Amino acid sequence: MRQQQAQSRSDQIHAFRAELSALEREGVTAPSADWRQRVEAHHQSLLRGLADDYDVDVSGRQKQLSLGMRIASFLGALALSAALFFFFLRFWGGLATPVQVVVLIAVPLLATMGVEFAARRERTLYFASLTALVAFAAFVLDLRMLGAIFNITPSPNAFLVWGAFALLLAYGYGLRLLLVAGLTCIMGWLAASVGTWSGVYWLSFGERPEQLLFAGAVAAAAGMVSHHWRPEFAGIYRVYGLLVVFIAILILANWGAISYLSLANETIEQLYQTLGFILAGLTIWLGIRRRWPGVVNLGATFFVLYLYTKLFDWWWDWLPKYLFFLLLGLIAIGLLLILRKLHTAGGEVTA
Amino acid sequence: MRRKLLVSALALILLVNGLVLAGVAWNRGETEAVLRLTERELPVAWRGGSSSENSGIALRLQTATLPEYDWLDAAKLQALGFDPAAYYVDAARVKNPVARKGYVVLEFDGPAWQQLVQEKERKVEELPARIAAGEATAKELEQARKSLRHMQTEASRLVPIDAGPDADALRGQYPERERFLIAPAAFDARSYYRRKGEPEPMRGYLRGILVDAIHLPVEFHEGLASAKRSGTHRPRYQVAVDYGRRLEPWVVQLVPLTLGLEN
Repeated sequence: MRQQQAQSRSDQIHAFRAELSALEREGVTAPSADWRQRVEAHHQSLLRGLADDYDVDVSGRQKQLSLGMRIASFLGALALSAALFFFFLRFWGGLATPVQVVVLIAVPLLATMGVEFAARRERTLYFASLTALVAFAAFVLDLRMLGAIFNITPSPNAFLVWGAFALLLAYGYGLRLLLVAGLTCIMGWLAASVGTWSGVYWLSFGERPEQLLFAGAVAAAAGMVSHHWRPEFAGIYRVYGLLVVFIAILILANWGAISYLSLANETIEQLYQTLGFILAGLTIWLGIRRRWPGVVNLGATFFVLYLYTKLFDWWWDWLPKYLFFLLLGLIAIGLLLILRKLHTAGGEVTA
Repeated sequence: MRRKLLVSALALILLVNGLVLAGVAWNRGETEAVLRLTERELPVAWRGGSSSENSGIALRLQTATLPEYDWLDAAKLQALGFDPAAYYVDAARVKNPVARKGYVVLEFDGPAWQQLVQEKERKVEELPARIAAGEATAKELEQARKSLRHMQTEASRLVPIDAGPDADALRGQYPERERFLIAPAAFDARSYYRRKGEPEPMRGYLRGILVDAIHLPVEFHEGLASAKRSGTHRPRYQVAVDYGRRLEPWVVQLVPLTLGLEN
């Protein structure tokens, strides 16, 4: 059992207790004192075990504290990474080249070993997550500064290496932040590499959003296949990948001149507008069908965004502003009604 | 599994650093070009705010400013991968070209530089007549003279003269390794079209040299500081820069210059 599964079991016990109390109050059931005692004793022992073995939150207050600790861990990691970067920048000029190299290699190695050290001492992995982000930042700094010291031609392959490193730590310790960092690097590398196949300078990959479209689609597709080792990661692949795809479509739907397609710019924009609506609709459908609430929300958000940008194109110039916003509001209410209908029809599916 | 992934992460750090250092050693195993530049071509790079926050020093490879990249014609742009036909079909089908990677040939203090100076001198010489004809002002003349003086004494003499997709082919054309530097670079192109008229021919330009900041190791910091202390006029120092197999540079020597030695 993993920490996340343990937490979900603990939440299930609390939900069961609350529901049982409600049923008793409403007079639906009245379990015997003996049954109640046996179940209570079992749950108590289970919760104690889960708390001891997995450090799960066994009360609502603990859960709130956990969220705070997660935020503190993330902000702490950002601050420590910045401290590491500026510390090196402040003193590196006075060091001989071999010393610079040794320091640059040693810091990510030590920080990576620190992840294991932290994980062994604290099962909730807040400190491990913080240390892992610092290790990632140290590895980025390592290659970045080696590039500066030895005047190396910039290459997109650094992103592949950083991405692989972040994914190794993410999968090793179940760290979602590292997964996001890893996916960002891998998608950046994919997008840049696709451009270089046709001779485009890799740092210009943002000037042809179709390259991002490809990278996002690959990440989203990876989230559709089963993740045996870390099932909780699949949703991040799907949502992050689709987010990149939707953003790329949004840009192309409004700026056809930067597309690879050799059609009239207006035609390209119309093409991507249509593709955006179809894809957002399909995303909502797939999310409902496969019970992926994150995917449903993302699809609905971009459907509305695409619709609003289109309405802006059509009506902003010739409608009085009050009427324009009134229409937007009415459309939002209409969408709300449709989504509510889908929600009701789906029952527990979209819950 | 966790242990395996941890070991893999540690191994990845060591492997990648090893590969980077091996690449550096391979680059420096053979010199592709040997240049003796000065502060004119290699001024100290801006360190982004306070120097106390960044103790590292880099020298910025500065090229001469060209009014036009006339030599970067349609054939060269096509060789670099730009396709004029794909960027302008008609007024509705106009594309922004995306930067492409190639190699630029930089000539140091050669005929291309002399030609740039002569053009500037000619423009300055023409100005008095233009002032008499009411086409220019005395202030413009003063500014043009100042600009010429700057060009003759302080501006970079590294002039981009050619480009192509193949570094070896370019080296074959420009074999003098002390005068011609071949560096990886990004190129850009723009077609200045008119909506109702015919498009102008596509124009290319050098977007940037890929390694334009050259790190100055700590052993040269004292020489640089001494040059800055004693030198009153630029250039205050001369730098020996070698380029290796991968066309990546490194500083070999930095010598303070006494006034007038280099000009």
